[in-house]
Amino acid sequence: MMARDAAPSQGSTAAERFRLPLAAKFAVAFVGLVTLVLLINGAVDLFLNYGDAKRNAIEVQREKAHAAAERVEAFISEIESQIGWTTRAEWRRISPEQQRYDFIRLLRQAPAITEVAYLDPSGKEQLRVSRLEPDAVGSGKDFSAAAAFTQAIAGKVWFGPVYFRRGSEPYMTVSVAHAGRDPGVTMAEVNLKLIWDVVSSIHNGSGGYAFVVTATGRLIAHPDLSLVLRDTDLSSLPEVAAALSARGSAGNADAADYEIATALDGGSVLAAHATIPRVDWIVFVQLPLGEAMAPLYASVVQTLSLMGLGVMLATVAGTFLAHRMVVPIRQLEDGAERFGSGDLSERIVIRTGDEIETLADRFNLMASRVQESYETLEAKVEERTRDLNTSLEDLHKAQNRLIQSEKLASLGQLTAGIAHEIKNPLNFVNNFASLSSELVDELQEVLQPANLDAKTRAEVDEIADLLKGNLGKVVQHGKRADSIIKNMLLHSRSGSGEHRPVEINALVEESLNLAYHGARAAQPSFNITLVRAYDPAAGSADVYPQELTRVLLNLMSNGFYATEKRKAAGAEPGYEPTLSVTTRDLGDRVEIRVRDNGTGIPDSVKAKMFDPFFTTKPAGEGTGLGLSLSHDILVKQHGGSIDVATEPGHFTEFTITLPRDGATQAHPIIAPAKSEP
Amino acid sequence: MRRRDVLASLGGAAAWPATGYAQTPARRRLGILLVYGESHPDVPIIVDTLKDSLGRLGWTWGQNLTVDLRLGDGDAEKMRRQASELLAAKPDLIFSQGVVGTTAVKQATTTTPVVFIQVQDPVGGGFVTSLARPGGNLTGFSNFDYTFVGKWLQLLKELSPSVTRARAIINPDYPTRFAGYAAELARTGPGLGIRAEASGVHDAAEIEQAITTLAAEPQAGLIVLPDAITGVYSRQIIDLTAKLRLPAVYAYAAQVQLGGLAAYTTSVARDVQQAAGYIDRILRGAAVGDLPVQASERFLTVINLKTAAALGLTITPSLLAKADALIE
Repeated sequence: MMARDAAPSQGSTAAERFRLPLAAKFAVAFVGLVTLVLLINGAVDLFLNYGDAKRNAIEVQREKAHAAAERVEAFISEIESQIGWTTRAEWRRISPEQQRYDFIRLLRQAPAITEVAYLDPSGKEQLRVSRLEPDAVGSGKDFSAAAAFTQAIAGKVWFGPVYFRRGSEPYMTVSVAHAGRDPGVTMAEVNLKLIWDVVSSIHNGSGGYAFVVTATGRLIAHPDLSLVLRDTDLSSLPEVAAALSARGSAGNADAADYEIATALDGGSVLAAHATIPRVDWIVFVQLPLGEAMAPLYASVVQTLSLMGLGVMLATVAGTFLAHRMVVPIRQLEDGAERFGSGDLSERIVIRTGDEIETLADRFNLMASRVQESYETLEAKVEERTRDLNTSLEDLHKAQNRLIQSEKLASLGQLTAGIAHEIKNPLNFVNNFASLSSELVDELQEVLQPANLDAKTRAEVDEIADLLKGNLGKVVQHGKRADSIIKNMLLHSRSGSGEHRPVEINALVEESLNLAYHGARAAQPSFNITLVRAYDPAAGSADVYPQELTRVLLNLMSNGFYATEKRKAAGAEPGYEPTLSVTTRDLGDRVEIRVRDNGTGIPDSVKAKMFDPFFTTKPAGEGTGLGLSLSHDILVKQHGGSIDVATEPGHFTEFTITLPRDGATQAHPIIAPAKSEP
Repeated sequence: MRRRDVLASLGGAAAWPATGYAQTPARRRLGILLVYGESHPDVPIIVDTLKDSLGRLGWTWGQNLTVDLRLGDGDAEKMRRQASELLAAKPDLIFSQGVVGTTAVKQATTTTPVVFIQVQDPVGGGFVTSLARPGGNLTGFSNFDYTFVGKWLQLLKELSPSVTRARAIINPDYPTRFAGYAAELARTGPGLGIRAEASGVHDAAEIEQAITTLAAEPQAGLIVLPDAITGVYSRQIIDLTAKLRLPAVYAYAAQVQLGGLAAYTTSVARDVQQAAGYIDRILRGAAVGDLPVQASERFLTVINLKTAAALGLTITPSLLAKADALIE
């Protein structure tokens, strides 16, 4: 019990130390692993996505910048081509009125052109049509040295620098040389405010826009027109500065045609630019960084949410699996605990189809083995106990026998000694008593011749007879004493005679006749029914015939005595004294039963009846040594046994069993008496 | 499905500033001072266009924008009073028309933002310090320069090539303006073969007298300069010129619609639309002084063919080519 109590307390301290149960460990490991994998995956994904998204965004912006540049250039080209129709070779030969009409149409067609003038081949202004001022015909103003004229003649088309009217509105001079030899020039003043229509129609996401600056960073087009009109110099804006410096370093402008910069309004933007080489303008397209990177943020959110989902699923799955795993382990644990506490009646039932099931089967097998061992052990213990009890009984018997033997041995020696010592004086008594009796006879003979009166003679005879009688009694009792002493000597001196194979049935019949006739001789009126039941197979046994005969005689005469006694009690009418003798073959043993229907033996007597000198007969009739002697002869001399079954008032039955070769094994139990004197 | 939600939320986030911008702020007050009277056809055009444009920008009249409208009937004194009334209501902004109206407002306040339209030479008129950076509490849209008087003169000449004498009528109480026009007339008139002069008018009587005396001269033509007075008395001027068979060029299309001969002008509706954009920006916190004054860049030639026919004038093909609108 102590050990059993100690175990759980140990367990609880262990549980405090390792508070995390298996399921939690498993779940933590599982979820941790999945989370780690997801994290790595997410990080790699993000890393790659970031690069992709950035490249994509930049690519998109770059394309938009180029598209925007194309549109702005298309605006200029459109103006150029509109002017184109006043530059035909024959145009200068048509009438001034027609020329003016053409210019008016040009103004109608191209709203951005505020003023258009025709310079003749010598550089003199021949016609000017304006939206703001009266038309001038043949003003003759000399433009022959102006760049607008010389450059146009030299290069066919000339785009002048951007200038600002009244410090506010951006303008540019576009002059186109006419076709043919010795050409004139059509010179147009273009209001760049109208690029606003182009720029504001460039949509870049929801927060992005495009704007145009000159090569010096001066803003000329912006969705917020007021910025343009406000004479805004953007050359200090980071993206513009970077673009300008890149242009300054010439060549690979495309290498850095994007920038993440701070916009005018302060936010971070992704800006890309493209140049319009004809006019040396730079078109910028910018998009708030957040918007440009929206796909990246979306992918971040997606990755994170997928990761969250993954972790959640992993948690659920981990918990579920851990639970699935732990349930059979708990069952196993319970089962093992049951086995441990000695309850082997139940088996662990786990049907998971895996190692745990195998383990459970092993446990069950173990339990079966232990149970079998228990049962075998119990049977063996029982057997051993039985064996031990038998041994103990045997030992007790042997001990008793030994004690009895010792008792009898010492008694025998004593008796032998006493008998020897008494026999001599007794012989004297007997002999002298006989002699004295004869002497009395001689005395009477002596006195016969003597003359004695009759009276005296009578008295003498009377005394002599008395004397003779007394002496007779002395002799008689002396002889009895002598017989007692003989028996005592016999008692102490066994092994007398020789053992030899004897026909049991013959021996028994002889003894029975002897006993019956002996009894008839002693008492002529004695009568009894004798029943003989001899087993023909009784065969022979190696015995001491004289000793066995004495035993049988003793038992038979006891039986006769008992029937006589019952008859003397004279109770029942029709009582028929019977003595039955039975022999039976028991294989290597032979059984002899002597049964009488006499008085039976009371229990108090039965316990002591084999003791020496115990007798129930009146004094003088038995020596008390009959049964004791019989017992010694049968048990000690022949290695057999004697049992008694009796019922007082009904019957007594002695059963003798003798081994067929018992005498050879038997040892003399009493030391040979001292030689007689 | 998650992705879509995410994108939607991102889209929502990205769109937020825009919706936030469109959200109508607290109730504001706008004062409007127009120089014309009720009967002038441009008044409903200006008011309706402003209403629509501001409505599209999130300012609904009567809801988040309280509007006080005053019509000056060409009376400068009345307009000064009206400007004070408008300012007494503590408006967030005043929308003013013309040199006359804007002058009235400018004299009344130096702090309340003012957005003007149909002003000529705002720098010379002293309304702003520069076009690019007005600096003060006024900004807006100019329609004509003084040089335009040359355009009108030329239009007159094209309509009636025989014209050698022209008179431009305008309220002379704004000396810079009057001088500007006078100088331009003197500069461009000779080139066109026209002896032109500016003539100051204050009321119907002076107008009648100016036109009548002009009509008495041979080969004469009239230029009606953009002004409150000339606007308010458009009907009389047109009737008078018709009666006197005097070719006349106007600064506003409305006058041609009423029967005037021709005009070289801007789109009033467009001016108002642009002004509405500035009003919106100022109401949302933009500084007035940072918004540059914008000049018109698109001009229209409007000709009333009926009036021309009545005057016995033939319209040349080049003039027809120029014309953006012909009124039958």
